Amino acid sequence: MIIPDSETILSVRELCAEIDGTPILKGVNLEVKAGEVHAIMGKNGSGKSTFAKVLAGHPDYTVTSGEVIYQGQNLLALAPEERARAGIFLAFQYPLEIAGVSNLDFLRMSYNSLRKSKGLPELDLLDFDDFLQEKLKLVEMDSAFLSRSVNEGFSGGEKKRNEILQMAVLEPTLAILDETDSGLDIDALKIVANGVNQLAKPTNSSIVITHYQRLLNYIIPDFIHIMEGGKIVLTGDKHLALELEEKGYDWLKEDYQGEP
Amino acid sequence: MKLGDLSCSFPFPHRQDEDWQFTDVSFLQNIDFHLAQLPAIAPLSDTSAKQQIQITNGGLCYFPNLSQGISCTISEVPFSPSNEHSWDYFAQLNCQYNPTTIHCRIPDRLQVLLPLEVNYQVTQERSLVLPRLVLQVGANSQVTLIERFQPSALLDSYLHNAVTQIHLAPSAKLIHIRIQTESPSAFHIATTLVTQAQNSVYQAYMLDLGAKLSRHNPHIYSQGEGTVSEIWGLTITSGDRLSDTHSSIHHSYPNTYSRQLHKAIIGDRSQVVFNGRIVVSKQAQNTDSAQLSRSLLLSSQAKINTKPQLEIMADNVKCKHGATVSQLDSEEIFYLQSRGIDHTSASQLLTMSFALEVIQNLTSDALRGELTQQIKNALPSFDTTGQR
Repeated sequence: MIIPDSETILSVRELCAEIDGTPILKGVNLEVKAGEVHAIMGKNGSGKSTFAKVLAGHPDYTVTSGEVIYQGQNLLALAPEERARAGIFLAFQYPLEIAGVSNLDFLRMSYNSLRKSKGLPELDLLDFDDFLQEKLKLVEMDSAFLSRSVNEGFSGGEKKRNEILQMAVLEPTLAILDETDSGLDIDALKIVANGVNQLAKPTNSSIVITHYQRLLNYIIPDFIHIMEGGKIVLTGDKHLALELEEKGYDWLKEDYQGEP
Repeated sequence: MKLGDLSCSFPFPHRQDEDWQFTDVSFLQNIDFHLAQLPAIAPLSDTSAKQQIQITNGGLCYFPNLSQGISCTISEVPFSPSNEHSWDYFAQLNCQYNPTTIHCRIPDRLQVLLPLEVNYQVTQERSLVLPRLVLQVGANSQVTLIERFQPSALLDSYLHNAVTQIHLAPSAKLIHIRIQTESPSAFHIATTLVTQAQNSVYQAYMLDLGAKLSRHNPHIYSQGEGTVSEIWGLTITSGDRLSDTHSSIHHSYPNTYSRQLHKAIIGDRSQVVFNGRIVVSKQAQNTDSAQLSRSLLLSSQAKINTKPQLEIMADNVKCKHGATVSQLDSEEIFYLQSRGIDHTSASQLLTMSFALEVIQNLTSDALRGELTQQIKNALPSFDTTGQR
């Protein structure tokens, strides 16, 4: 939701980043305010997933210029775990499988690391379990998932729901969903979208990265940005997605390329 | 007294011997050891519920309260190994210079509920310590044996040279836990010989976590149909430790089963050697055997030599083997970091979970807890400087 005069959560200015010397982001500008949902769409290779990873602090990418201010502080100076503790959450496109670490232990460790950084006491197993049962309902997950190793042997849909469960537990200020719709059937997509919508509040915001318009039927964005060649080339409202769906990404080439 | 001064009917191992290619023990010949003094046997003094046998400096130091039927005696009969081709210089030295064998027998059809705990201790610096244990498990009996090689103090440069011989009668079952956490300047060399009669089950969890140099040779001989043999091994090294495991599993009868997982976590400038021999003789049809060696290198100077050695003479068998060597996965670390877990904790968590796979099938919570604690103590602390 767009709220007049709401606080700026994220401000990205002329952000450039590379991997192994190859430039990927070439001057991204984006302003996200509290309460807003921003969608970033674009073809494969347009830089949208890189943008998500750079915001989360992935070590393989080097920021070469530009700045990212998150709630008034320089985000780029923070280690990935410090960003997470400050309220940034990245839902991975390909969540990793961590053999031998139970989902429950992982969630509790993660949650307690955030509490600790806020100077709050850690939750013990019993209190955490109560807290978690509520969150499980949100993503319609069975508690049997908790005793399994993190994502190990999970289906594609279960992995994505597990990401949203983590998000529900960590209650981020800025959630970045990187192609959360990929590999989901329609039922799983609805569960995931429903989870995201229920977590939306006037005080937090999200960036939804997707290739297809489909997800945006369920998570209604306030803004849609089109990324192309490592920068945002077009910004519009939710209707832009429908136009894009109809005309395809090639339509951008004629009208907008080279005119940031 | 130096090892070179002791006469032994086996030659001292040399790096030109295939089995000692990566492990140089020649320096042991130049260390001045003294033969450890055997302790006086204490009377019954144990009032705890545990069945603990204490073997100090290679000799039995006290008799425990044992469950009914279990016997533990000292025999002075010269020891003759049943499988001479698994024998080497060190095993022979053990038998030639320690005349006593500690001999435990579990009668037939006995379910021993309390684990039989054997604690090996050394109290003399620069001593040559030669403990020898024989365990016979009667037909249809079940027992858990825990062998702990633990220093009572941080003693300097002793050589713990142990021989353990185990025989499982038909349909016997043994869970064998072996924890080696010797003093950091100690040398640990051991042979474990297991013979299994038909339908017996041998399940071993072997942790090599201590000593400056350690070498363990577990040899398992299936001597009847339907045997089950499992070895779950974990080696953790740091500093300039060297740890060598040379195992062999011999299938000589039809319809036998073996599984072996050997994991190594290798830090600093330390070195691990793993050689896993699986022998399937011509008669051993329908053998089902699988072996996997997985190593995690935590530093660029750490070193692993891992080698499966399969000798299969039968034609209708299932034998799998594999070896992997890897480092901590930076994507996995990033995933954990993105959930607020710092780099050090993420590295520890991933390393710990790598290690714990080795003991996941252990059904006793208490034992799994003890082993988990030992693993935690042995893991190096992670220095994250320069890793960001």
